[in-house]
Amino acid sequence: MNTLLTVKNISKTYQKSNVKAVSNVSFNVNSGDIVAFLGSNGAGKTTTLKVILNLVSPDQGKIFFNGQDVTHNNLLLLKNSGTLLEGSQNMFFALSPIENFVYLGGQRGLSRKDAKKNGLAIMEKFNLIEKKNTPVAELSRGMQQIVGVCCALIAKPKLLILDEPTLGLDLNSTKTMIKMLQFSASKGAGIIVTTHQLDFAQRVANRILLINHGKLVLSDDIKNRLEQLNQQTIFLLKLSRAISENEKDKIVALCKLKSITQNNYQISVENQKDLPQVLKILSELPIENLQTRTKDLNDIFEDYARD
Amino acid sequence: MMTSLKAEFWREIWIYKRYPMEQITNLFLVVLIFMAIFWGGSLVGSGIVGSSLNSLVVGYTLWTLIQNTISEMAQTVVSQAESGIVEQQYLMPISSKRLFFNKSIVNIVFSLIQSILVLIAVMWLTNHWIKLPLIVVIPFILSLMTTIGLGYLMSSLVLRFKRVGSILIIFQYVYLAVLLTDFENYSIIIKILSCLLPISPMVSWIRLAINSHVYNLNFYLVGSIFNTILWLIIGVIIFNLADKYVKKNGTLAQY
Repeated sequence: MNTLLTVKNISKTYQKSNVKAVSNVSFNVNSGDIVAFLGSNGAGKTTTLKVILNLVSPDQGKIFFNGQDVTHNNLLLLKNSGTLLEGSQNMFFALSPIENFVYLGGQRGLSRKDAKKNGLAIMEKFNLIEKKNTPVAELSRGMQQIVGVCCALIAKPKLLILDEPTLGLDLNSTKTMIKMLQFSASKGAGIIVTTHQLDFAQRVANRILLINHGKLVLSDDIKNRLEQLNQQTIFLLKLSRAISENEKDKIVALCKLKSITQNNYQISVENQKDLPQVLKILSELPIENLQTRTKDLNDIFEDYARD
Repeated sequence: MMTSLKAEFWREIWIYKRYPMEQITNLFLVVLIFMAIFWGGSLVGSGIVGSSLNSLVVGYTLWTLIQNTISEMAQTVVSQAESGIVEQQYLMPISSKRLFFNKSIVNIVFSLIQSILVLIAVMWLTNHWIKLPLIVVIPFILSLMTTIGLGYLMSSLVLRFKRVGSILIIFQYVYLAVLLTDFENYSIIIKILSCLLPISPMVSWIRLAINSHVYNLNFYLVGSIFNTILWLIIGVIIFNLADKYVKKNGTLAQY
């Protein structure tokens, strides 16, 4: 997989508010990657995206697209990218979806015919074709979001940057979105998605970037990271009474014990070889309910994004 | 490049089609204001006749053209900055200068059509048909080119200061003053200095030509070309500064 986008040591301080929005952030996006760019509100996600797109100029650092420096002259990047920005109107609300396709496609060098064809093909996947001639202002929030995504995808970009693409989308549209992003990635597009919906991120992305207070605190393959996290087995126990001191000593000799609420415990077994012995100890306890717990993106987010 | 300009034309056509009443009433208002000036002049004094009517009709048409082109440009950028779409347009694979140039061209063409309609309506209502000498095409085209520079200037003000409604009104009166002042009748020094004012030499030239006065063609040709280049350069420089400012401060999307 070749590297599409390289972000190298970018920093940005907004001078008026003297806020360091982004500090020394570096990462790569390869073709075929779907990168979930996560962080709390105000963590620096949108500023990072805007620096990549040259809507905000960095104080330091460089952006490369296909190996070419595009920090200050980014026409090459813009020619090959599609973007959906959160908090902006991504299209003309007075115009219909089809008119927006022709306008935005035309700005990207597409003929009227191709722009219509590409835009309508994507709308059809979202079952929204009957709204093609309705002014965007008259569509629901979710439908507007879908049209915005169609506009971003219209020129079949190599790099797709989507800021909160699932805002306002229903379950079916979110599923369609996931399929479409995975299809684009399979065709070689590199995709950066910011979202607060961690389940969506976990389903769609293969890599995770986590930013906190302007600093990149995690850059990893999601599958590897979850496999690492889930190497330990976690049991959630509900007992009919509290664990005695004697039982506690036996358990902590083999694994970690954490009291959650009264008579509710979490037991983490790090070494899988100890599992039979742990199960034997558990079988002697007055268990009312037992569940195993798998760690997910929420756990990663909580570990890295806390203050 | 052509698809980008065509797309801008289509957008304008769709807006005209979607809101036809707005455009018709706008045209009606412009004609009505002229007729108010005309009838007011007829009532108060000896009336506006002959060469003074020629000047008034041409001056007023030019004023509406410049006013429409530049104000419309600024208003378009204001509303697009307000809604946030200007940020999305900055993500198109054309430079921001090209983007605003395309917008200027589209504004000029649509304002020109409107001004021609206004001119015809005004001549018909006053029953005073002006014969336009062919030479006026040159100062007219140069005036339009100057409005591209002024359009850049206005867009820069919007990008930098966001709310510029009062500035637009001040500029309206500045254009009006420039159009109503007959610098061609002043001393040579004033005439030369007036070449620094936007579209001033072109307006004097058009007035002299329409009223069949004798004038120094070379002076007005050189003055008009100088004026066009000057305001195009000023517009582009100011636009570049505003562009850098919004990117440095991350204020493109703020309104």
